[in-house]
Parts: sequence; C-alpha cells; structure tokens
Amino acid sequence: MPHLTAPHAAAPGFLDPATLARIDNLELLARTVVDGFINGLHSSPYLGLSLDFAEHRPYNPGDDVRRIDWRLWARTDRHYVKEFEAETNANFMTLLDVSASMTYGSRGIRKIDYARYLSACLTYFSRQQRDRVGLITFDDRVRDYVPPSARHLDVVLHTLDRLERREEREDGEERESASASPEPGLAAAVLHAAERVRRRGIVVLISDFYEEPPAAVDAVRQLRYRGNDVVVFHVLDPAEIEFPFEDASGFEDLETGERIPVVPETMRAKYRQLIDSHVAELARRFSEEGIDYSLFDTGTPLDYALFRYLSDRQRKSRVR
Amino acid sequence: MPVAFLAPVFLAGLAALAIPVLIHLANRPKKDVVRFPSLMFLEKVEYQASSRRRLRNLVLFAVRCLALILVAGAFARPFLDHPDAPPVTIDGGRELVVLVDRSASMAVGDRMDRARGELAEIAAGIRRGDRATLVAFDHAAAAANRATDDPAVLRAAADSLRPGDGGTRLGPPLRLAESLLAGSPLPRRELVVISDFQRRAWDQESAIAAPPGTAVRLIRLGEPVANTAVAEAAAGRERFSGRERARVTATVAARGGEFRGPVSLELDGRVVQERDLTVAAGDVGRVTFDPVTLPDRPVRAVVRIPADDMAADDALHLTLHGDRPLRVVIGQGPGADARASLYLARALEAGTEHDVAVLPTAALTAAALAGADVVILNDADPAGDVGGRRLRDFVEAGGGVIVVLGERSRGGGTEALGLGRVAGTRDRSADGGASLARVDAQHPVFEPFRGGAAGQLSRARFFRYRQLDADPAASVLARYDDGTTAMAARDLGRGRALALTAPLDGRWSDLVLQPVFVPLAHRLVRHASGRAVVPAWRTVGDLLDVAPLLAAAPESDPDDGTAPVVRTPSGRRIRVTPERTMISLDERGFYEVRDPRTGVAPAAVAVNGDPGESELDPLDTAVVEAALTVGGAPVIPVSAEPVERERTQSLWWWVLAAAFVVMAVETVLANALSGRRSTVQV
Repeated sequence: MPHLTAPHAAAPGFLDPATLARIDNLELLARTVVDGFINGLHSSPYLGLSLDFAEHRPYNPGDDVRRIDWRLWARTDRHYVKEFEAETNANFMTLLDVSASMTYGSRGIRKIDYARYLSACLTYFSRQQRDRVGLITFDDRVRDYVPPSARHLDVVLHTLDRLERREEREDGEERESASASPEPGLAAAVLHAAERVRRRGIVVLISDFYEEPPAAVDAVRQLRYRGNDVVVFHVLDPAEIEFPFEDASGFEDLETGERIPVVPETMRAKYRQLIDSHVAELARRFSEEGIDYSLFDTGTPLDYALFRYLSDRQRKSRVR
Repeated sequence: MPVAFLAPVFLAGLAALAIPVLIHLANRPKKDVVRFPSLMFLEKVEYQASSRRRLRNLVLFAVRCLALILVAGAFARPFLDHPDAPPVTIDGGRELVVLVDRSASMAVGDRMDRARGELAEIAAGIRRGDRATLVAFDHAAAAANRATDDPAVLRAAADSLRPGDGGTRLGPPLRLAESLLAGSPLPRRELVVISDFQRRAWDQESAIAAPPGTAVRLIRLGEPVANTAVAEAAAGRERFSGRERARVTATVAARGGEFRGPVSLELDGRVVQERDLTVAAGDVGRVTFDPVTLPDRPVRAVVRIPADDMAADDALHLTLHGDRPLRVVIGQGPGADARASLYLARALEAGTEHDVAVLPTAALTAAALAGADVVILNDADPAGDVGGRRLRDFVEAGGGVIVVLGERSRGGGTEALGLGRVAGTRDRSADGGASLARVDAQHPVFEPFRGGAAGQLSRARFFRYRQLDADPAASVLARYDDGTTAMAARDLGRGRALALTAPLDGRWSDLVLQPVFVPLAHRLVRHASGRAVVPAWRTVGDLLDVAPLLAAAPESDPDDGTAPVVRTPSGRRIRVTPERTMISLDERGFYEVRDPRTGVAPAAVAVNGDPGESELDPLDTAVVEAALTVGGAPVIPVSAEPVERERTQSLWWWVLAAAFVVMAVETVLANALSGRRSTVQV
C-alpha cells in the first residue's frame, strides 16, 4: 500500500486553514469559507443533497429546468420536477471529538481547531440549505449537546467557539482526566454520542480515530443503522502521518500521560506503515458500511474539505 | 619488552577515538518530552531497551576503536626496545672495541664526518676504568690505539681518520674485535661497528662469537646513492709497421642511475682521446679507443669519467707495456723425429710474435744461446750435446732453459741445472695413464689455471714419463697422481730452469691435444724467460714484490742515496732494502719504482681500488646480528639509531595487517547487527 501523503488541495482558491485561523470570529470564518466556496461553484449546491427522494410535483413556470425529471417526461410526456428531503428540512448533526489527542498541532493549527472550523463550515453550509443543525462534542463522555434546530446555528457556533476557551482554562488548571480517568476509547464515546441522535439525518463525525478500526467502525455503524447518513472526517496532523521527528526523546500520550522512549530514526518506517494500514482499514470498513470516509490533515484547506463533502453528497444523490 | 615509537606524533590520531563517543553523547535522548496525540501506533513498534542496544553497539564500538588504534599505531612506527641488553653508556670497567669503516665508500657524502661524530659521542661516554680501542678497517683491520680510558686519545684517533682507497671486509675487524674482547679482564664488554655496511663486505666467514655479556651496537651510516664506475679496462695488442700498439677498451658500470657523459683516455697525464657514452641504470657499457703506439717504455694510462658522489672509482689507472717477442730455440737431439717439436713450436707461435726456431742440439753454440731468450731441450741430452756447463752459464746470465725429458734423456742437463737426478721410466699405460694430481696453483706458471680452470690440467693423461728425483733446492711445481715429480723449477743466478718429465710430442701423453697445452706452453716459456707478465694494474691491498722490477737486487746499505725507492701516489717514499722488497699497495694511482743505480726510467705500477667497493648496495644489519653470537646465544643488538631498529623490525607492517583484519571483522559484525535490526526494530 503506498504511503499516505497528507492531502493538500492544490487547486487555487482553496483557503489555508492557518490563514483562516486568524479570523477570530467563527461565524465569520464559516461564512467566509462557505460563501466563498459557493460563489466559486458554477451552480448552486442546493440540489441533490440528500439521498432520499421525496416526491414529484408538476412543473410550474419559474422552476429550475434542471430539476425536471426527463425520464418521467419520456414516459408521461408531461413535465414534473423532483423534490428531495433537503427541501424538507433535514437534520444535520456534527459529532466532534474533543479528546486530548485532538489538541495536538505541529504547524500552527491544532486538530481541534481544524475540526471546529470544519464543523462550523459544514453547519453553516447546512443551515444555508435550511437544514436543522446541531452539535455533539465528546471525549470520554458527551461534553456538549445542541439538539438540531433551525434556530441553533448560533448556538452551535457559540458552543464551538467556547471549546477553545474551555481548553485554555483546562490546560491552565492541568487536566485531571488525562491521568485519573480510565481510557474509555473512541468507540464507547461515539456510542454514547450516538444515543443523543434521535432523529434521522446527516451525521458528520470528525475525529482523529485513535481506535482500532473494527471497534470504531462498529460504533459508527450504529449511527448508520438508525437511518442516518453518516460522513466521517478523519483529521490528523501532518506530523502524525509523516512522523518527522529526529531526536531520540520521550514521547508522552496526550490522553493517558503515558511516556515511552522513542528513537524516531529507527521507528519511523514502521510507524508509517502502521498508520497507513490503519487508515486503509478504516477506509475499507467504512466503505463496506456505506459510510463516507475522508482523511484530511490540518493543512488541507477547509473549502477543499467542503468540496469533498459536497462531492460525496452529489455522488450519492444520483437521480434514480 | 617495552615498545617505542619512531613517530609518536601519529598517536595523536587516537584522539579521534573521542569522536564517536562525543557523537554518542550528543545523540543521547534529550530530556525534552514530545507530547504526542497517542502512543497507539508507537507502542505497536517492537521496542528494544536502549540500554541493551548500547550494550550491543559497545561491542562494535570497541572493534572500531581497536582498528583505529592499530592504524594509528602502525603510522607511529613502533619497534621493540630490548631492556635486557646492557645499556650503551654504562659505568667504568668496560672493554669497548669500536670498529670504524675507512674504506673508499666512506668518502661518499658525509659518511666519514658522521662516523667522527659517532666516535666523539662514544669518546664522551668513556669513563675511568674503561678500556677503549679504536679499530679502523677496510680490507684489513688495524688498531689505531692501545686500549685506553682517555677520551682524548680516542678523539685524536677519530680525528685522524680519513677514507682510504681500500675495499671493505667485515671479517678481519670482527675477528680482531673478538680477540680483543675475549682477552679482556673486564666483566663488561661492548662492540660498536660504525660503517656503511656494504653488502659485499659481508660473508659467512665474517661471523664471530663474542664473549658472554657483550653488547653489540651496529651504526649504519649513509643511504644508498647512485654510482657510476670505470669497472674495467683492457689493452688489446697489435703490431703495426713493426711497432706495437695498444687498443684500450673500457667498461663503465652505472649503478643506481643512468650515465651519460664523456669517457676520456689519458696517456702520461694528457688526454689523448674522448668518447661519449650512455649507459642505462643498472647496466654496463663499453667504449673502445683508437689504437695508440707504445714507446719502448711503460706508459701510464688513465680512463676517466666525470666525478660523482664516489670519486674513487671514476678513474681507472693502468700501465701499458711494450712487449718484445721472445726468441725461443728448441733443441732436438740427434735422431729425433723431425716432427717431434711440431706441437711445441706451433703452440709457441700461436697468437704471439715469438721467434721460434727448431735446431739440432749440435747447433746450440754459445753464440746461438746468447741470442736466445729461452732454450727448450726437447727430449735431448744436454750434457752430451751442449754441455751442462754452457747451459748453466746461459741460465745464470739470465736465460731460461726448459728441459723436456723423453726416452733419449739421460739426465745430465737436469743435474747440471740443479733440478734433480733422472731415474727410470714409468709406464702407466696399463692403468689408463697418470694425471696431474698436485699443482702449485700459486706459481706464475699456473696462474691462468686457478679456480675453475684447474680441472683442465688434470684431464691430460701421461702414459709414460721419466722419474725425476727433484733436487731439494728445486721447487716441485706439479706431481702425478702417484706422487712423482711432473714438473720442477729452479732459479739460477738471473735465470730460471724448468724440467718436464714427459715429452711434448703426443707420444707419451695427450697433453698436446688438451686445450690447456697452448697457454701452458706460453706460461712455461714466459716464466723461463724471466719476463713476467706485468698486470695492467693491481688492486689496493695487494703486495708488490719490487725486486723483479729492479735492475739488481737491493743492497743492505740504504743511506748512500743509491737505495731503490718506491714512491707512492701520495708522494710518500719507501726505501727498498733486502729485507723489505714487499710493498703494500694501499693507495690508488701510480707507484714509481726508482733505482738510482741505473739510468733506467722508473717502473710504474698502476693501482686501483677494489671493484666491489663501487657497489654501494647496503647490507641488512639484521644479517650481521643474526650471524653474531654472544656467549653462544644470538646477539641482542643495541642499535644507537631507533630508525635502524625500527627498520629491521618493521613491526608497522604487522600492526597494519592486524588493523585490516580487525576492519574485516568490524564489517562482518556491522552487517550482522544491521541485518538483525531490520527485523527487530528498536
């Protein structure tokens, strides 16, 4: 298996997350990304955003002719337009991993920040689609829960914004959970979070997935089984992928506090092989479950991530 | 046995051993901790405790250090010092014998100056109670002083040292040293040899056994240098318009370097001819000059090349003598076969201008004898035909007579000439004939047959011969295998008489059919004539008997100014007395033998150095050390020069070889470790 390289969108116009990080206002950031992204598209992404086809209705003058179901016209010789769930206000939930491992960053932007921005952008975009938006943050337990609502965009953005300040406070107070609490695992945390998703909708899981693939996929599968449209964003720092360390040092686990001595030059090759295998297995398993899986590193522009999200949506919303 | 180093500065390379240690310390795990999101994958990498890894690498580190130490040690040129040998400078009560080379090769460069310097150091180390003897040697050895503990005496002897013209022989000085050391009453003994140790100077007979406790120190001076020498010169004779001419051919040997330059021929101090010659390094070249007409007196000739580092062999001296043909009369008895003297006459005429006449003995009148240089009575009876008295007078006046006994000889001639009495005839036909078993090889007659040519004489078979009881005053020059006399000789007055006991006609022997017959016949006639073959030159170290060169025997009163004198090339004058006619030729050049009693021009004797002295190839002193024994055990040399000790031991080669072996081991070990690490990750 070829070694993964941190995907960086090379297309011009994609915004560097580190640059966006300078935008202190999360809503502004999300709007900047989403509006800028949408403006760059040839057409509005309002169509085919959902898997579920709702119904046909007769064509009225003024409707977008691209929505005409031409197959039905071929059969009936009459013009009908297709209507989808998106037009019926779907739920959009972000499950955001805020565990200690997400606080890692080697190039000026941490994974948690990237995840927050991504979550904000997707939430903002979904709200533009008139979806009901919500948020669940979790580490070893659910930290924040914002139920999906058409009026919860600000709440979601505020909650995401509050995450940063809460981490700063907890860092200053020396996190207790890192050393005292047992390691619950990503799978268990996802399952706990999944219990809060009561209505079917689009669920976006953003995590660094430090969990064995079978357990992780099994937990995420539960979301899928409940009728949700699940999209997984696997976020890693480039250093976690490339392992560019040179000096022999002690490495400390951000979540457990465990330390081991590491000689990078002798471990690098094996580490890369392991993480490549991990990502490949995740991708395979998620694919088998019909779950969209994407790997991003914190250098990937957010609008590129949004582009990938839309691409997946459009691919799955192919008109039958 | 302590180890010393010739170039200890290279041991500074051992400081490089610190480099891997410093790198290792610099690369030790930092105290800084890297906070990483998760050790999930790092924990899956099999980990090998760094302490265990260091232990394994220490082995490799030690091997690499060892290789580095060996390389640095090899470059530092180690050698073993011998603590068991007595120190060079010890307290009094020491018998010290110092052998100093003064041969011609010591004139090269600064060798003699360095020898004097070494002697000065040795003299400075002499203490009260010591007995120090300086022995200067070349082809011979002589003590320069009586044993002394006065450093000034040794210094004075050293200051007077000069390179001579002689060759080098290590045997004589070592034997002299052996006797001096063995006869010493002192318990401590030391032998020091200061020389350039030419290879030709040594032979196995030079080995000595020094007394127990003797410290031996060999001091080598000088490095090999290129040297070109005039190695040989020969004068071919020819007659032109009744005059004798000499054509000189010179041989030039180029040792160590190419020779390109002129070769000149000087006659009586004047350059008469010059030839350009090119000789490749290690080769010899020859140049032949145009013939030169010889006067009636000896000519002093010198073949010369441009001077180089060793000037002693750049000129070869030789004398060119005009040689008047001999007048030889062969007398045959009445009734002799006309061809009886055929072999003899033809042999004497071959290759010479000798005037040979075969006459019946009845024609050998006094007048006929007076005109002859040599008379050969071939199977004739002189007493009955010529008269013993006439023969004896002829010999005593300077003539030469050779009596060849045959079946008609009655022995009167041999008795008249004091050679002995002729007995019967011995027939050895039944046992295949007799051979010459004992020959006086030192006699001039047999000079050409010395060495390997001696066997040629013994091939002749004598089936019949007369038995001669040699007179006690006569010299028996050769005997048959049964011990009977084959040839006898005796000097009478100014002449010589010889007797052969078998005719030279091919009847009683096959001597005339042997290749040696012609040169033997020539030597017999020349010796009988008293006209000795004068060598073109002699070698330094030879003894010259000047008596034959004088008109008359020297008299016992040398103070009236008429005594013969020998003048050396350096101008030194040596009086010749009846007790002292043998002169040691110690200098190169021309010796003059002057006899004031006659008006004859002085005789010149050319003397050159030992040709072997031109070969400057050095002798490995280890050979000398190996051949010397001290108290029956191999000598433990105490060489003054660490360079010499290191050179003979050459430990650096073994150390370097060991370094390569260790490097090979390191390669194998490193490959094995890296292969293990590829499967067992650290």
